[in-house]
Amino acid sequence: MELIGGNEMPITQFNLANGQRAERKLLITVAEWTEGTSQVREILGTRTEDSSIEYNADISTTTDIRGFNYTDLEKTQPQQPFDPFLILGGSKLGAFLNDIRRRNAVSELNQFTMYIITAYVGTSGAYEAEKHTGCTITYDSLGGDTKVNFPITVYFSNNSVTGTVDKLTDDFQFTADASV
Amino acid sequence: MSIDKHTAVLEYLKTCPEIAKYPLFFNFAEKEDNNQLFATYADSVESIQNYIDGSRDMLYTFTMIVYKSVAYNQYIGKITQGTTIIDYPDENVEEFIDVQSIADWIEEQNDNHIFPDFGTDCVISSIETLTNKPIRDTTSAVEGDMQPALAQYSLGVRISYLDTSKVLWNS
Repeated sequence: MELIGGNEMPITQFNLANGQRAERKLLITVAEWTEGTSQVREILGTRTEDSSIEYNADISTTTDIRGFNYTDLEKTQPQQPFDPFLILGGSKLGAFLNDIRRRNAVSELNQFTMYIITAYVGTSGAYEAEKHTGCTITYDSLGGDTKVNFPITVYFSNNSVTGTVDKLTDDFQFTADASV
Repeated sequence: MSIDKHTAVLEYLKTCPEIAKYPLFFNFAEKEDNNQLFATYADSVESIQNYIDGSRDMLYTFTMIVYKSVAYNQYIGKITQGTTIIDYPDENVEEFIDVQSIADWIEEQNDNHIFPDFGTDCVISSIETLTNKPIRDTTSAVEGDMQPALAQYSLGVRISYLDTSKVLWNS
């Protein structure tokens, strides 16, 4: 265990063998929203070949008269595109977003809770995760060639808490870290 | 649950009326008139695309080989025997059409989304022939030593499916 400044929680090491690379499926993004009175969840990335969380760091750098650079990170604005996001039978999020698109009810797009689960950190029953509330998902286009594509982008709110999830299924329990 | 794909495809092919009429062999068959061979190759199952959730697009390919006896009847022109003019039906054309009906059946199944049962871990998206008509095998097009002489027709078939067996998340 090691402690770093500002964080009283011990850093959890990767649950990978030395030199083992983490499979992409271990980084999981889950959307959560409310339909009527029901809370619905869906993992994102079905039929998506490549998707990364882009942190879009807002950086300002100054250079003093000695030539040394001082870089300040003002903020990050993380977002994650999913393209393709195909219209798929059984996709709850696809149907939900399509309903919003049809009604042009764009104000309903910022009601998502997003979970970023890093299954390569932690143990079975306690995978590290972060929960962002008040996130936005936009649909970017609709169409394509042989299959209907409905690519989306997730904008994380940074209004987040860290914690763990107990399992890798839609009905997981998120437990916030005690010190947060 | 994943099931044996070879058996699944064989069971599926048994429902094709043309195939059901004649013997169907797996990988090895005697070259006899109307015998049919389901042939697999080393690259019969291949991965073509991985997705970030751990699923992957896969291809299952096989070749249907059909042996048909060869006739040397002329298609244009009549054969005269004495004063009688005989108009032979062209066996080669008829048998080619029979083999073609297998390709047509596969296209019809694809259009109706009727696929082999690869189990719950696989979602088949299409079954299609690699050519729109059977290929007359050029390496051994006619087995002239056979009695009767045999033609070998082959038809490549490709099944595209999503393999979800490696997905971590249970929805």
